[in-house]
Amino acid sequence: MVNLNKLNVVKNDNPFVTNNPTSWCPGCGNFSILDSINQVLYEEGLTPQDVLMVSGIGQAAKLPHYIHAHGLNTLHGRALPAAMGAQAANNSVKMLVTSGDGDTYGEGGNHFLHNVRRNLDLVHIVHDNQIYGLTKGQGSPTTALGQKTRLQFDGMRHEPLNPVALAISLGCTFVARSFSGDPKHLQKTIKAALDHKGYALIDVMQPCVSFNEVNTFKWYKERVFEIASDHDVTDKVKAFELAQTFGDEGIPIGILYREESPSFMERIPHIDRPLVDYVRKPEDIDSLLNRMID
Amino acid sequence: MKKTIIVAGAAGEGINTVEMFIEKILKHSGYSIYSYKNYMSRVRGGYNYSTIVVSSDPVYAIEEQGDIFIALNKEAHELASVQLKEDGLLISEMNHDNVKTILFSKEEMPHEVKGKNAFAMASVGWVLKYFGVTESNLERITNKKWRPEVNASNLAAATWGYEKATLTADFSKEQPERILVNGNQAVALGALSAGLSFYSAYPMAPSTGIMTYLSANEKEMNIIVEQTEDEIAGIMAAVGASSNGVRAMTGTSGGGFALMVETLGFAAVSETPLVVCNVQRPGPATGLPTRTEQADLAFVVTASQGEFARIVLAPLTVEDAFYTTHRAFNLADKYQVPVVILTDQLLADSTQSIPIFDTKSLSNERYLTVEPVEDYKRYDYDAISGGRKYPGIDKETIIMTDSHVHDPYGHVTEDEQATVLLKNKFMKRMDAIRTEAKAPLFHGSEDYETLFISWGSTYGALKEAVDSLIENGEKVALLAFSDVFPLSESIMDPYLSKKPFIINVEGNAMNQFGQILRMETGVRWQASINKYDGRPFTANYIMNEFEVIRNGQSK
Repeated sequence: MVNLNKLNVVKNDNPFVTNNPTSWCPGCGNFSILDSINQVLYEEGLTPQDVLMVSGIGQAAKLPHYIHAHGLNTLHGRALPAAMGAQAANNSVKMLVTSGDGDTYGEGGNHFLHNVRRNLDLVHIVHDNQIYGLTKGQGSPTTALGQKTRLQFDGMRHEPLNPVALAISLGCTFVARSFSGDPKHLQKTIKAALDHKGYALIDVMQPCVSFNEVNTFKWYKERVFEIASDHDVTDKVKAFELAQTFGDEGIPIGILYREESPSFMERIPHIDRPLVDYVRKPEDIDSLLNRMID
Repeated sequence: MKKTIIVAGAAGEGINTVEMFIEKILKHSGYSIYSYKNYMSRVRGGYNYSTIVVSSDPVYAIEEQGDIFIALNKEAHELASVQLKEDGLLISEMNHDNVKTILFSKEEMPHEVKGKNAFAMASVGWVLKYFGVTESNLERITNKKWRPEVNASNLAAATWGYEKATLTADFSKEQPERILVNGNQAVALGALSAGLSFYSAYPMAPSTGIMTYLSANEKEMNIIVEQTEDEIAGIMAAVGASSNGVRAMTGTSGGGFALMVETLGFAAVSETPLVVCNVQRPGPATGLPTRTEQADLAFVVTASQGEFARIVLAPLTVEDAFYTTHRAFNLADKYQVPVVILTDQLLADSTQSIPIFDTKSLSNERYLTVEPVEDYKRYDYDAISGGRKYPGIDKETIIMTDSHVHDPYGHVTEDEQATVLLKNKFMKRMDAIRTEAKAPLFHGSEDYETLFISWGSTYGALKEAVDSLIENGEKVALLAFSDVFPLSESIMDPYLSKKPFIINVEGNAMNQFGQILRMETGVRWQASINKYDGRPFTANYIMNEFEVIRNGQSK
């Protein structure tokens, strides 16, 4: 018979936590991202009814199924346009997008460019493990040049994409990087992102224990360093410079850039409450029709 | 009585302005209007024309040749001999060797009339006098958005042209209040009447007019119109909005629809109501961007991988585009399925004077479950219609919207039985939709021996052809399908008892609807009339083809 199990909500104080089985590999960096999201949402005083988790397809994109909150699990690469429509319909919910590096920067690259421009009000957590997980080990847009994969037998032929530099150049209003192996840092960053009004990107470095033999937990651990406290997050040029640092010269984690700018819905001032709350009836168009008589 | 005016020239020379003034003022004076834009895919230049049919009775299609031809440039002037009927009149700045010409030469025009639009506006004036419009109505030749000097010189030129006319043919008639509206506007208005809140799309001819009209009324209607980065985002944003409780829609033409198909399946499996308007143009690929064809039907009824329930509706007329679009939203909500509205460039760019839409006859049915429910199952396998909730509809329920095979709560499963139950639900939905589908419109003689089959916009020209054939003593009738998919197996039964000779009429080469009809009902057509040159059907074309078929039969 069909397994009709609802998400098993864990009986503790945090209503977001479930003990549903995941399809992630043991030791996967996704677990600590999930735990961190749960923890921050709880600490922010939100309820599951206040939150909409949006995703595309991939191992990271399964996350909405493992958290007790509203979910919208769409198609590969398409989380952001769905998030945009959802936000247009009801901007009273807190929105988080969780997706992988392939989902966000590959299949969904065009949507990433344009929804950063829209300054959607959301937290976009990219589980960046520099490899394709669900399709079993092909190169992703962030895999290093020359790195051998289960498809690129002689190594990657393309330069890797630099997500944080790209985001800064696009005018993303909150650009941060974090590491799944440092839950404290990750939680601090997610909290700051949730408090930001506008598009908050967090590129989370995360080991893929099954398919990325180069960018391991140890590899990241040896390279990540917290951005100096005197870094001016409002200095776009400095932020862009800092965003160039990656790999053996170290991986800066923390908030690289932040600016205040009207969000997507703030730029549509004629809608002064959630769109879903407007009451509509057929006669609403009579004013338009009457003008067509003349 | 009916007369056809053709206004021809290059893009940017004022064809649309001339057309707008003529049809607005003639409509106001008691004429029925049907006009159609024939234009090239370019911003300036080329050869474009608008055809305006003016009649005392409702008009459903254009004619190929005009009674009056306004030539806005030399190329148009030369083509007048082809595009005019034998006794037609040319209005031109030059004399024509073979055609009777109303000459408005530059030399003749008084100084105060000689503006940029002088010839075009003088032609408008002449036409209005010809149709018996009283001089006081010339004041309607103003556009609030234009500078007063422009309006003044336009009026002066029109008045001069008006005074030059001596021929008159007044066949206007007392008419109830009517609106002038084109197919794209009718779709937009139908959506607004249904409570559309969010429209996201990427510009593509000939569908852009829907978005433009909605955008122009965005604030007044309290809606959001979002131009997306591509069609994939256009449809996905609409699904995102709809899954969060508002009525949402996207629109495009065939090429854009091709990009949307993955999300069409997502809408279906996530059981999210969605309305998509595909304004067809000739394909494949870029095809003929600004021309017309009915060749996306076979694609649309099968688009996207896998099997799922969907509805495809093809409005018959501009008026029907309004009511059908309204109905599309109720159907989408009732069955939680994607509904594709298939119009085409002909319908999109046809303007008709029609009775004002009766919004009081409409109601918006959402089929929602507003109150909290114990153990709510968003994807209850037995819920064929209704019962939908979205995030925030009540203060308790948590909603998961999902693209996989899922359990009744929306969570991913690979269970065999769940897979079958979900599929069975979609199939039951198709059955329910078939039962609810609107029967085709029947028109013609009750003792018909020939039965024409059509779908969508082909109805207009076919209706006029059938009316003329009946006048000529032929025993013919037509069926026009607006609910084109899915079809019930018995839908043709009421029309076959007299074993009519069936002629399938479609704006494509492959008889796509005929094939679907045959597949679903087993009914075959004996002959077909097809048009796939990018131009719309006319009654004359259909009558000539009918003659050919009949001659072929008698051999």
